[in-house]
Amino acid sequence: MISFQGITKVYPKGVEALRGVDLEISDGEFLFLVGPSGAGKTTLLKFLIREDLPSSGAIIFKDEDIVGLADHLVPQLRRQIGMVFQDFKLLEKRTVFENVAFALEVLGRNDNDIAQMVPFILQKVGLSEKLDFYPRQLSSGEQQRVAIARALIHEPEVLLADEPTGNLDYENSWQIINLLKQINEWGTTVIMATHDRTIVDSMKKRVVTLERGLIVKDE
Amino acid sequence: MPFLITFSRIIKSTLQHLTRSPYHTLAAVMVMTLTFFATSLFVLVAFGSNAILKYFENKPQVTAFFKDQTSEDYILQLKGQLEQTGQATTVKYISQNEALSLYKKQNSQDPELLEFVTADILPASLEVSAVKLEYLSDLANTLAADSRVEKVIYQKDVVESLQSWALRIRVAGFALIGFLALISVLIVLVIISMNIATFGKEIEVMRLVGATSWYVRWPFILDGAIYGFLSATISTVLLVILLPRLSQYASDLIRGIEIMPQGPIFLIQIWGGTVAAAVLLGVLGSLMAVRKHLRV
Repeated sequence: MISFQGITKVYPKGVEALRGVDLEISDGEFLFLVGPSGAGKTTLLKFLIREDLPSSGAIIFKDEDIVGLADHLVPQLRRQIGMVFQDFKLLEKRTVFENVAFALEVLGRNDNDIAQMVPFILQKVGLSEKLDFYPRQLSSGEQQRVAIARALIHEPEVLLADEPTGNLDYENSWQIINLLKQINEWGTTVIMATHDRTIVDSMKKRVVTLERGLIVKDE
Repeated sequence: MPFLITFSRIIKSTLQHLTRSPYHTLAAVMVMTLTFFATSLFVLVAFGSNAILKYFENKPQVTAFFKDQTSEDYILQLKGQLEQTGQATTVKYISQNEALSLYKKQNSQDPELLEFVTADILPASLEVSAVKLEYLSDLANTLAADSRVEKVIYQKDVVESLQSWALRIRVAGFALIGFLALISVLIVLVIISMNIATFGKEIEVMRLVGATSWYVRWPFILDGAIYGFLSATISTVLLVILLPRLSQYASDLIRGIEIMPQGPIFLIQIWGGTVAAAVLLGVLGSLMAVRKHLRV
């Protein structure tokens, strides 16, 4: 379903972030991208949502090379791929409901749809009691759940998680990992970048290790 | 109706920008109001100078004032000569008594000016209207050559002088308005850039969840349009308040000519024109900011 083919990324002054990465990811897979900081994990994820472009190579998503995708089609790509981040990227002046609804509003969904879909997805991530809370009134783990709910509201085929437990304590980290596992069981492909070895080792999922822009292990 | 839903959300987003950054809005509107109020005043000045010019252009006249003791017979004989040249449409004799009654009529609101004025101190005159503006110099020369004529007022000089002043006023006005318009565009550019920075996180989230680039851009472009609309409307309201006073001042200054435009049609035209120009400037400033700072 997703295929990275000969991906390189060279920044100005010749700094190489990725050096010929080939990677195939199947539908419904749960994949960890691991490696030290600067290994190229986040760069790979950014390519998938066309936040950045590789210097060479192709990225095939649903039989189409998204590297050459026209700019006006990028929003449609992003509606099929949800993404969550270490810093949650929640809007502080909006409630939990409004943060998730925001993702539907920008796509022109009507208020009735929003009123039905948002409580449904928030119930799935265990936040049905906190619809009217503001992000500052939530724990870090709850904030990450809101971000996941927002990423899932379009029912994306792929969920990208860039260090989603990076700002969380042990207990909250495991709650988020279990939630991602559950989302994967619903049929969504999950790609998670992390350098938390404990989580990776205990999950028994496919692990791709990146070092200095190269895949050094795929197990 | 997805289009209407999207449109209403863009408007909602625009209004959020305006209310969440009230000082940005205030600064932009005040600077643009200054520009468009100055523009409205310039339009009035241009209208006034045009009205004065037209008044004189449509009345190609030479007026000759006679020395005291010049007999009426002498003046009427000269009048006949002028009529025979074929260059004059009308030659009107105004006796000293008629001059006094004209003076009284023009200054009826100002009794102080009427005191001590008698027919003796006002000269008799001939008002000669030329068939064409070009004949004015011939008629003026004929009158000036007459020994009984004290003074000739020759409106070609007046018209030329007025034309020259009107041109200077227009050049200065356009330069001033151009300068203020440039300042307005730059201020809108800076303020929209600040709005983009203020709403940076919202923009980032919009992009991530798949908003189209125009969905992200439109509220910022509409910010500029609304700054323009508000400033043009405020400047027109200021004009509505000031126009009666300006009209009074102008009619005191130059009597007999309708210098200031009147009526609601003129104000609607001014409002429409300034709104169109202000919205255009606002959108221009916004587009420049969006192009520079909002890469979607």
